[in-house]
Amino acid sequence: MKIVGVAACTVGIAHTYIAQEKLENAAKKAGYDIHVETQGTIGIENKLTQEQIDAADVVILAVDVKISGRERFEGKKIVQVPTEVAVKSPNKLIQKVTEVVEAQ
Amino acid sequence: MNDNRFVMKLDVPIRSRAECFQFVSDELMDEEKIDLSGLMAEREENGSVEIAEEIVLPHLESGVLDKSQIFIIRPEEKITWDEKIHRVKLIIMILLRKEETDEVKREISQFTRKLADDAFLDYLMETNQPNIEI
Repeated sequence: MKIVGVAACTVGIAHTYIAQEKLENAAKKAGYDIHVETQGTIGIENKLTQEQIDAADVVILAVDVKISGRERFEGKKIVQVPTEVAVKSPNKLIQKVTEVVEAQ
Repeated sequence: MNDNRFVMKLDVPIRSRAECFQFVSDELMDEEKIDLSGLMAEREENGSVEIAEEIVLPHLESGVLDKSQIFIIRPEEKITWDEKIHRVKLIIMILLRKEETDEVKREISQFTRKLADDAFLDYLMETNQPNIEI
């Protein structure tokens, strides 16, 4: 499965980057391909390419704030959660995402 | 890396969230005390600061701060943080100065990424060295 995601939190210095790492680690552990863009206090890093978005089976938005470029994901299956979920329960989240994709 | 960026405090005699903020405020040694508790409240309303069992990560960005610092605090005994978070053994407090440089923000973000690593969290919870290896 191919996943793209965005992580963004209120202050943009803590949960954003932990969520990115946790999502990447959990997805890779499950054998999935994943790219996570961060929208934090530094700005946008690891920016998703249109190619990565087009190829993705699902989009994970681990966000506590409004993100920029959400329209890029129009028409894609989106799973949106607070960053807290990605930080505290990344494996469960990836499992849930798997179920969502497989139910399609 | 700025040597004062990361401050490790072991066996701190605090019993509550309020005492933790008071302790850090005292450590900042500003002439005017900073109301960290009030400043943090807004962030805490927007989501839990608990990042793992026994670990909280309160953080804020504010113009009242002279410099950006990360305080890593281990209380003498586990403390209750709020009505939902109990038995806290490790407090990682990020104080980000408003309009901080990108260089410092990157330094801090590299640190926060490491907080996704359980082995690093175990190290922070167990080390007895006041000078931590980041």
